[in-house]
Amino acid sequence: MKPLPYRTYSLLLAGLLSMLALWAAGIPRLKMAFAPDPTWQRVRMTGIWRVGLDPSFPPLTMLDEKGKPDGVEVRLLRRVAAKMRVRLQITALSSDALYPALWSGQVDSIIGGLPFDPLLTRDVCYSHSYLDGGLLLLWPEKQPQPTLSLAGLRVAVIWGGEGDRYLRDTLRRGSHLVPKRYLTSREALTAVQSGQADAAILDAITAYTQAGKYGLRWREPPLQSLPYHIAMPVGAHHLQAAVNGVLKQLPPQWYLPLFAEFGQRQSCKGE
Amino acid sequence: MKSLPLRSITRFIWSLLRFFPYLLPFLLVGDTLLTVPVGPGLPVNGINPKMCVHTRLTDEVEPWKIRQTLQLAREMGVHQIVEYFPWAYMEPAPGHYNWTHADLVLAHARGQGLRVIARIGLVPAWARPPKTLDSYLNEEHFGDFAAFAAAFAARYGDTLSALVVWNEPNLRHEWGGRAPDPVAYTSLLCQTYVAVKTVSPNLPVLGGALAPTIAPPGNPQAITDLSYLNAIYRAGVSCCWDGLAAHAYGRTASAEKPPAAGAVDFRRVELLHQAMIAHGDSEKQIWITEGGWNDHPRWTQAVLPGQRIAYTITAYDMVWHRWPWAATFCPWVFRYPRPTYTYQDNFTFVDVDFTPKPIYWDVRAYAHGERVP
Repeated sequence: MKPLPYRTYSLLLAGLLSMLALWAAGIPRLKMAFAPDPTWQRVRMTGIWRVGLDPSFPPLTMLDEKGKPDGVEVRLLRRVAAKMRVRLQITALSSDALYPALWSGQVDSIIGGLPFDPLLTRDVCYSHSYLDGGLLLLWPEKQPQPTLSLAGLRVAVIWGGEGDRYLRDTLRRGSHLVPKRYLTSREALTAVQSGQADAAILDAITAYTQAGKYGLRWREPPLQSLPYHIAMPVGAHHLQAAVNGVLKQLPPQWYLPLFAEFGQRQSCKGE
Repeated sequence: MKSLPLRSITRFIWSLLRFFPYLLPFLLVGDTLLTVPVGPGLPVNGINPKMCVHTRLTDEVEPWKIRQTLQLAREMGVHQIVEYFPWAYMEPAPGHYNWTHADLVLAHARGQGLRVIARIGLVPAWARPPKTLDSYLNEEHFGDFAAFAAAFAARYGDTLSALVVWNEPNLRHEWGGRAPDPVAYTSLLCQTYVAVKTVSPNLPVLGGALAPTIAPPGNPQAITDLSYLNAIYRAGVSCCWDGLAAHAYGRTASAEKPPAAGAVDFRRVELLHQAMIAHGDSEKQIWITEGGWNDHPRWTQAVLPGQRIAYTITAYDMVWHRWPWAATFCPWVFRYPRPTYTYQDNFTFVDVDFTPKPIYWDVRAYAHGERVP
């Protein structure tokens, strides 16, 4: 039997790999572009975008004085809906019922500080991140930025919170810092403001809402990242693209004025 | 031009096959290598004998994770755990039992010196009509459930500290999406009690696992725990249980806040105890098989993380020193097999990757008689 020459093998292999690459890169995208998106079709047909959220997580989602949904995420949804030229219809649900409502088709999307969950991607697709709720390092505006190793610093955190956990992990890794634990974020921020602590580690939402009042600034990206996304049914690629298109156009730190507004409201209520 | 001779390919394949005998032992014992030794029954050193925690090992597959979870629970100082054993998983077809996972969990619990309160429920598809919730059980299948409970008790009765029949039957979604029915539940409990006692007379059988609610009368979603308790007493529950399982969530109230019928807080179980006394059942204890506080930073039903730590420790101490009528306190939940990415994650003591949270260290310090910061 006459063996095949190497060049023939190489050509065959190259052809096969090229076909595989084309299939992997191009065809699924083409297929997706032409595949129907029943969620988007329904939204376009009715002109209504149905979003589920749990309004018990202020300042992201809450009810206003009249009992209507409000909050930073609700304002974001309104902005996205306006750009998509559809009417926003919010369905208030409990947190545990959000994903089931999405799967059962009760709503088109859900929101509420939802991080990307890799185990749900068979049923759910996510938008780009619109906000990072991770941990921020805060320090007085007039001081230089502290070293990220936190070595030698007195660091204020909420006792038992995520910041406390971060500090304990850092200490276990051998860093020489002095943890200062406080019951509330207000106490932790006051400690930094008054010089009892050099810096604070708090979650981004608390920082955005309160830090300005204490003359503190923060460093981004966060020490620990926790991006939030809008979730949609897995076949809703047109809706996903439309939402992402709007999110891309948002100005940087679009949320800061809103957090300031809702932070002001909370402090007026004495919260 | 060079060519690729067929002989070279054959030689290459043959050289690979020569390694096969070396791989054979690994292929034969591979499954054994994945198992984790249970070890001897280790002592629990916690000072508070009523300390317990609800674990969540139902969907935990890997043996080492089961052992690691239970080891961390023991080291935190708890003496027992509550664990869920779904009927649907263990009896996939009538009379055909699969005890593999339950064997694993209970063996490791024994290895860690932990006693186990077993909660059973979750109706298999063969025992309910199509398209019904997995909490739906008709009266005609009560006997099947009782038979399963008896088989479970016969196998594990000596190693369990109690058996909880069903979960939160005073809630609609836990009663198959139907209006909660105290009379039907009492019938289920009585049938189960008789079946279990026949095979394992010393195993305490608990009823209820009542959810604390303040639903107004006529609410289709729930009956308040107090009304439900009175209703099952009227239906004759006294002869069908050895104690009441109850859930005690503190929500935003401290552990010390005095109870009131119109509020959900930790001490609400005192009202259940008073009702038991009123029905002449004062000898029986309440087992708090779920409860505690949540420390999500934004949920309106949560407390601050430091408050959660303080309230949890106070609650453990209260149950030990001030509530002789309470058998145990098992807060929800020690650890999840995977993150939920919701406020539920803020009920845990240990992260999915086994990193203990600050509450773990402080509760552990309390359980070992050390000073809590």
